[in-house]
Parts: sequence; C-alpha cells; structure tokens
Amino acid sequence: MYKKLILLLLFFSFFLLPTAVFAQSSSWTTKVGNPSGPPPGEISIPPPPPPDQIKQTLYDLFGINLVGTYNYEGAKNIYQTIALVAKSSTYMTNLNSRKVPVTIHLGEQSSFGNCTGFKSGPNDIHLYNPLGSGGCGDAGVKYVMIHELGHIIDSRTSLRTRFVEDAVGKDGYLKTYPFKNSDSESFAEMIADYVVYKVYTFSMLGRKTFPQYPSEYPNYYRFARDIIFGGIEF
Amino acid sequence: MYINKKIFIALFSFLFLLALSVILIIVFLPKKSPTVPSSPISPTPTSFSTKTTTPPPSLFTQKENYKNIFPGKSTQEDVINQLGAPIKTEVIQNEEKILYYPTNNNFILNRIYLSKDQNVKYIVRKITSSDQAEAGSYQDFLGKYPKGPSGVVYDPSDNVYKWLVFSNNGFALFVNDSGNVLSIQYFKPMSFDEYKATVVPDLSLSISVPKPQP
Repeated sequence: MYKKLILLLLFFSFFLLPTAVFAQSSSWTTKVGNPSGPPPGEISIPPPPPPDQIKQTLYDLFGINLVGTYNYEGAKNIYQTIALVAKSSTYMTNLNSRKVPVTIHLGEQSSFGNCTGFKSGPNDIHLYNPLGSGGCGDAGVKYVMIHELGHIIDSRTSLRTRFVEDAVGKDGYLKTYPFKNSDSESFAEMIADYVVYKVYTFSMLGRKTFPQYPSEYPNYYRFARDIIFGGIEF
Repeated sequence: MYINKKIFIALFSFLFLLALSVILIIVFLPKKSPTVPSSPISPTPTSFSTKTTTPPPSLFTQKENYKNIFPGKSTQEDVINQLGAPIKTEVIQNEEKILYYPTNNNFILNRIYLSKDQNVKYIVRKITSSDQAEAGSYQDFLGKYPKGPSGVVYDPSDNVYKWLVFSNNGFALFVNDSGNVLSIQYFKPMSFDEYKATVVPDLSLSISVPKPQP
C-alpha cells in the first residue's frame, strides 16, 4: 500500500514540475514583441573584411550594394557605419522591409558640396566625397549615410504617419538639418542625429555637437530609440 | 521504521517538487499586460469630432468622398453644417480661403479649400494612425481601379511620397513605395490635363520629380 502511495506521489510530482517549466517558457514567449519589454540584444557584427571581400560581405550581411568608384577606405567607412546601426535588429528590419538591396552610389560629382548625399529612387542613395581618408571624418560619414538611409526607411515603411503625429507635431522640425526642412527631411534627420548627436559637429549649430538632443527634442529621441532602433542607444 | 523512512523521503520529495512548481508558476506566469492608451493625445472635443455620434465608416469606404462634402458642389455653408466651425481660417490669394479642421490627432489638420464665391474646390484629408488602423489595404483599394492612376505629381518638399492622381474619379493619394497613404485629395472629377493646369498650381505641387535634396 505504501509503495502505491509513494508511486502516486512521485507521479504527481513529475507531472507538476513540467507544468511549471512550461508556464515559465510560455511567459518568455509573451515577452517577444512586447514594446514595454526589454530591448532586443545588440547584434555582434564582425570587423570589416579584407578589400577583396568587403563588397560581397556588405551585400550578404546588410543588403547593401556598393556601386561606382571607391577605395577600400571608403568601403570600410560604409561597412563601419552600417555595422554600427545594424546592432539594432529593429533598424535592419525597418531598412530591409522591402527585401530589396539598397544601392549606394559613390564617386560621383556633387552639386551640393562635400559631405552630402541624396536619395534618388526607392532603393538608391548617393554619397558624395569624401568617404575615403580625410574629408568628412568618421562622424560626418555616419551622419550623411544614416540620414540618407533614413529616407529609404521612410519610403519602405508606414512610420511617417506616427512620426508626424508623435514627433513633428510636438517638437517641430529638427533644427540641425541645413537645407529646406520638411516632414521628410526631419524624419531622416531624426535617425541620423540619434546616432551621432554626441560626436558630430553640426553646421547648423556652429560646428558643435548636440548633447541636448534628448532633452530638446524628447519626442524625436523617443521615436528614434523605441520605434527605429528598438531600444538600442548609442 | 524502514517504511516510515521511505514515506518520509517520498513526502519530502513531493512537497519539495510541489513547492518548486508553485514558485515557478507564480514567478513566471504571464502577467496581465498594462493597458496602453490608444493615443497619447486626447481628442479635443471640437464641433468636428462631436458631430459624429456613430463610428465613421472605414477609410476604405471613405476614400472617394469626405464626410459627404463634394468639391464643385458643396458650399461653405454645407461644410459648416456638416463639420461645425473650423479651428482656423486662412485667406489666400484672390480672396480664396482654407478652412482647417482637426483630425483625431490634435497636431494634424485637414484642409478645405474654398473659392472666392465660397464653393468647395479641394479637400486635403490627412490620414492619421488611427485611420490607418481601420483602413483597408492600399492594394485592395487599387484593385477597384485596375487602370491605375491617371498620372503622378509631386510635392516639392517631399522626396519620398508622391501623389497618385485618379483625376477622373476626383481624388489623389499621397503614398510612398510601401503603399502607405499619408493624405487624400478630393477635387471635382476632371481630366489629368485639367488637373495639372488647375489643382497642381493651386496646391503648390509639381509635375516633375523634385530636384534631389541632400
């Protein structure tokens, strides 16, 4: 009789424990996609590959297609910039939502001056000199490239509607953009400033950095942090 | 004595596993998600929003007209009767006016353009995120118009969105490459040539692709 009792107790014990473990695992599942939950972990990106592999690696890892004239330094700058923002899987999901590569055109003559760029089509951006050594500096390259990629995100997602309501409506246009401002330009600028505001010296701010970005444009900052980068901060 | 020891071990094991199970269930059971307000901004109780007592029809069914106001037919009086007083009125060139009405987001305003003789010329309706939630898909909508738009025009300040003009149907959609609709224009049905000659200059649009802007 005792044996039966022992077996019965052990049976229920082993039944209950997996139930508890299951409850634990399903609670992990519910955390996925919860905006109030912890931000997704940063993705580890390998360092820039050697010259003969960098173009292919950019394409394979990030969906970036380099065309035009460039040297290894230029390609490396592109790689380091996209590697920086690609730490956020949310950013890459936003950028690659059309599953079509982004083509970056390099080495063309600029009508806007150095350290500028523009978006020419749904999947194309042009970055002007100098992406090699010297020139814009690391922060300048990041600022221009992330701004232009911001236009690609704008064209591939429906985020503009919420951006205008949540950020532009409350904080106005972003003052760092040096040309004619608009919802479109402030959208791209919001993303670029989020990444470089501590290190880039903005022409519109008298060549100073913008440490007050989070406090002066809190709704921009929050939108970039939470919606564009999924909680990853720089 | 030997049996008692076995019972003791079994009971201890049982109670230990039971306690462990209960603790795990309590700690990791999914908690009720906090209630998230649908919009951080409470809609202003304007005449525009209080007029509607029943839920508005979906955006999809509203695409071809706006609140039963028809450019070329409705007058300023019809607009006021339908929507109440505007929150702002702007007089533009040739004594024409723009009446501004709030959407369900305080920062986003719809515009109704009136001619000098107080007839409705155009409506520019903004699509808010709550409109999007109830909107039918853009692709579904285009399915109703298999010929596609009569043409494309541009807003010079926007290098991402463009206006797809269904001129014979009297509306245009401001869309990006993913099909997100930001605004809808309503106007009197006309040919695309007439649209280019009248609506484009009146709304400061452009028939050519905007020059690249950094």
